[in-house]
Amino acid sequence: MQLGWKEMWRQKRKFSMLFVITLLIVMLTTLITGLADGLAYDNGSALHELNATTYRLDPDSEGQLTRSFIEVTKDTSKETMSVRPLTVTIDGKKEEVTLFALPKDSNIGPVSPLRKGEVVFDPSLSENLRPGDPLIDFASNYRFTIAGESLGRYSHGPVMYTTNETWFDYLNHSEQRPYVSAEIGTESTVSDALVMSQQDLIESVPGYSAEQSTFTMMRAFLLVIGTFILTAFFYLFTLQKLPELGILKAIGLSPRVIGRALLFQVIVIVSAAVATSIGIMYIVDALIPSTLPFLVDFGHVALFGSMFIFLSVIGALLPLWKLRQVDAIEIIGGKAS
Amino acid sequence: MRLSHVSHQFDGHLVLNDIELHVSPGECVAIVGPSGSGKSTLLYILGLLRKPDQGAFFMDERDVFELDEEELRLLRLHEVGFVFQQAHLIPYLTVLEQLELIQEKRKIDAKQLLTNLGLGHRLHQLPTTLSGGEKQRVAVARALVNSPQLILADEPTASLDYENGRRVMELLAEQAHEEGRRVVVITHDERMLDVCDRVLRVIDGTLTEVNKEERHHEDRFDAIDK
Repeated sequence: MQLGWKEMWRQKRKFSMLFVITLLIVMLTTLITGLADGLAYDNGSALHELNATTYRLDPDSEGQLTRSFIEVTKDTSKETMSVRPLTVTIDGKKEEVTLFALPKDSNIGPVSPLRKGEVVFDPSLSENLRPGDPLIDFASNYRFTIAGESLGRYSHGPVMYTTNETWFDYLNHSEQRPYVSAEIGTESTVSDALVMSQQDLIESVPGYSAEQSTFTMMRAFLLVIGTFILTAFFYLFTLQKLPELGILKAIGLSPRVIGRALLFQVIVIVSAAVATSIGIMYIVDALIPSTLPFLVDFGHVALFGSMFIFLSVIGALLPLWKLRQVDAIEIIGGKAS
Repeated sequence: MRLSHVSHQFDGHLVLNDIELHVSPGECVAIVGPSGSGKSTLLYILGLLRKPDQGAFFMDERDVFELDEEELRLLRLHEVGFVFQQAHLIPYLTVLEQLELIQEKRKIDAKQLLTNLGLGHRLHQLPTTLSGGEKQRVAVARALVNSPQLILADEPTASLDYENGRRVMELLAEQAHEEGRRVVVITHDERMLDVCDRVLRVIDGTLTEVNKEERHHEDRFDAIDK
């Protein structure tokens, strides 16, 4: 390892260049990961943040909460949730928002302090709303009252949370039959309900799977292409060093010493690039406008970074193989007689 | 240390033919011969880098070519010191580190060895700051650092001027005469032969001894041939 470190320390220019190239390649992957995580958050964070594990939906809903209609009697004590897209008027402009109605006396969502008619909303809906402001549903003319803010996005739009009490009042006001979108408690009134986990529900949000699959494919290709590029660089560096390494082999130095030095360099450079890239992601996250879907999920980025390090070590097997194959006599300058 | 009935072919051509060679401790042997005569092949066999088609190489009464690759590598590291035409130093290691990299048993104080070779003031310098003669002396020190029985030098003066070349040859001869090592040097430089105890000539794959009277004439012939 000392051999690898000394080479890096004393040939800073060469290794700095390699580090910058590695950083750019790793950043492509981590920035794509930040965008993918941002879009995933934008699509399903309201569901992700709910403290519930199992959801029972209308069997005809195809797993989409907004298409799930379970007829119920008006009973706000049951653990049910309802999801409905609304159009509200703010400062004379119509805005789309998704209403999440949740049981009041539970820790499922941020609604326990709310009274009848009150809502908390994701601040991306409007910067001008203040507690006590009215919010009018365009279709029914139902008047909600702002009680505060609570983060939550669904299908790339802001979410507004309220209680089941308000939900049934809203349905009653707009002369609709009482229904809920899903049952989340232990009791079930639907015999053939579509039972879904939280993750299933998130993946059923329109566009979620297609979006995430595209990003996963991009990341996979970037990982493979990046590994090829890094392998090519380390291979070329190794070719440049073959005369010295061949002499060391002739002298009898163990190939393991040289191999360990190379592996050390690969791991240090790629790890440093991953760490720097994560740092840059936090800076990017702080600088870009909040309207851009970008999120730093450290665990997720670290996972892709670790995959990069692992694949680079696998890629380093090629220059290691070249080192093993080197004929010391050819390096010394003699014929292979 | 003895080569016994060693023969080796390359591309269907007999490069070495039934070679017998014995080098005693404390002896410095020069090998001369025209290009392509097989002297480098002989050096690679002595350096355990090439196994001959036939014959045996006895070190301490055992045939070393019966050893496996890893045992040969360790034998090269501990018992054979190489000096090449070019110093081939590792560019990112200091003079002292060049020796420490391959030093295993620590029998010899690397700093003292370098100081003895006139490099005491260069211990922490990188090769780029050294002159050609200094680089080659570092290469000699590297060959000596594991205190080997046998030192092999392949035209060690070829890249040096006369003065530096002479100094390197004298260093190698000293290793034989004062430290009791076996030294085998391939050289084309007739001016360097007088420091060696014996001169052998390889021609058509056979090894013949050149007596002192013949040396001057033979080596001039070699130089022209080269």
